[in-house]
Amino acid sequence: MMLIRTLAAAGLIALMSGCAHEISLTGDTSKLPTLSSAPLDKTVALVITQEQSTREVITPGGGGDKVSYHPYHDLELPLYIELGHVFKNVKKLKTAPTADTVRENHLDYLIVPTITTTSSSHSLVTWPPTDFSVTLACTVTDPTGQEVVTKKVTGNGHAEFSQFKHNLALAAQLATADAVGKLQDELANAPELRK
Amino acid sequence: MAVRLARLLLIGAPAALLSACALVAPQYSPDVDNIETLKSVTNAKAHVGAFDSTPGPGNYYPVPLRANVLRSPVGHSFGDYLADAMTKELTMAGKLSPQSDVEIKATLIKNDIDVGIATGGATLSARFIVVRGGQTRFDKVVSAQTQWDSAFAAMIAVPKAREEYPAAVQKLLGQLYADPAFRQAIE
Repeated sequence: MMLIRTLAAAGLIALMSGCAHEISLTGDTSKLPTLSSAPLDKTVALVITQEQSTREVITPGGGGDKVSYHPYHDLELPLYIELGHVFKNVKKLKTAPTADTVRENHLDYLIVPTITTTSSSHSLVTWPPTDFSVTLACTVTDPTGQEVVTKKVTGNGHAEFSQFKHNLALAAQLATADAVGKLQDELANAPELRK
Repeated sequence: MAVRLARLLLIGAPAALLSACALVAPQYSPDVDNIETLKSVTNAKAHVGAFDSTPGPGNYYPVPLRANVLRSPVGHSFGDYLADAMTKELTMAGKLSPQSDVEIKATLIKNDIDVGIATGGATLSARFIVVRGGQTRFDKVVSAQTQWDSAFAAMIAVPKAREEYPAAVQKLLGQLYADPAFRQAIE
């Protein structure tokens, strides 16, 4: 009961002050799904720019409140881990690589993610979102910039008060895990990447 | 507006009674840049030794956050949190080896979180020691500071400070890993 009051009070204060409640989408990465197959013998670069990493997104929470987060920053680690299940070597780059970078790192593919999110809550009293979605579109190109394949998946997370009372970002973190798990499966089964 | 006011009155009183709540810091999430830096040290293998914390001004446990306090989700101090953070990053970089004769030890000297009205900040400082075969190969104090937008209302500012704390630990470890002398010491 005290937690409900605390969340409601924090919500009211946020509402009146115009602030958003900060959450992290990352979650416990040790619980991310794995693959039963061996990784492809390829070296890939995950490209997430500094501007993307610092980009803040604000979406609705419950009771008229808002939540804020940094989707590219928060999904960087889950994406890096899941790509590591699909490909033997994964590197992370903050800019699109030059020809020298491609050569030095022996890159086979570049992977550029685009992340969009939605959130909502049916609660009038507590601010954490009860529903969250993460849509992840990943374009895979070869080192010359030629598109090899694009995969788009949506992960969904749902958490009721009894579930999120110990982790206020639970719905968002479930959506993240669902999205990166689906992306992992899509990439692992893409015949275009096995050439 | 009347509904909002009613909500405020209904829950404002119990909320005002809340004081000195104990919060637990988020579990440490490894930083990809830190993992990449560790991966780049070709022949590195190390194990994590004793990480402790020297209590004192700027390094109290639990850490005061206005009327609240922040505890580590692992062990009994933020020295344990730092050890857990390094263990996770070494593991993900494939550089952790319990059998290695390279041991990394640390003492947390400063672990201060300022929950300001406009700006919040964390200041961390730790002495890191790398020992190999009984010989000290690295012994330095490394510090890191982070800042974020804070708020007047404690119910917004304190959870925000809690969420921001792991980024300060990431930065501290990132500065350690970036030191060529450290990389050479664990190689």
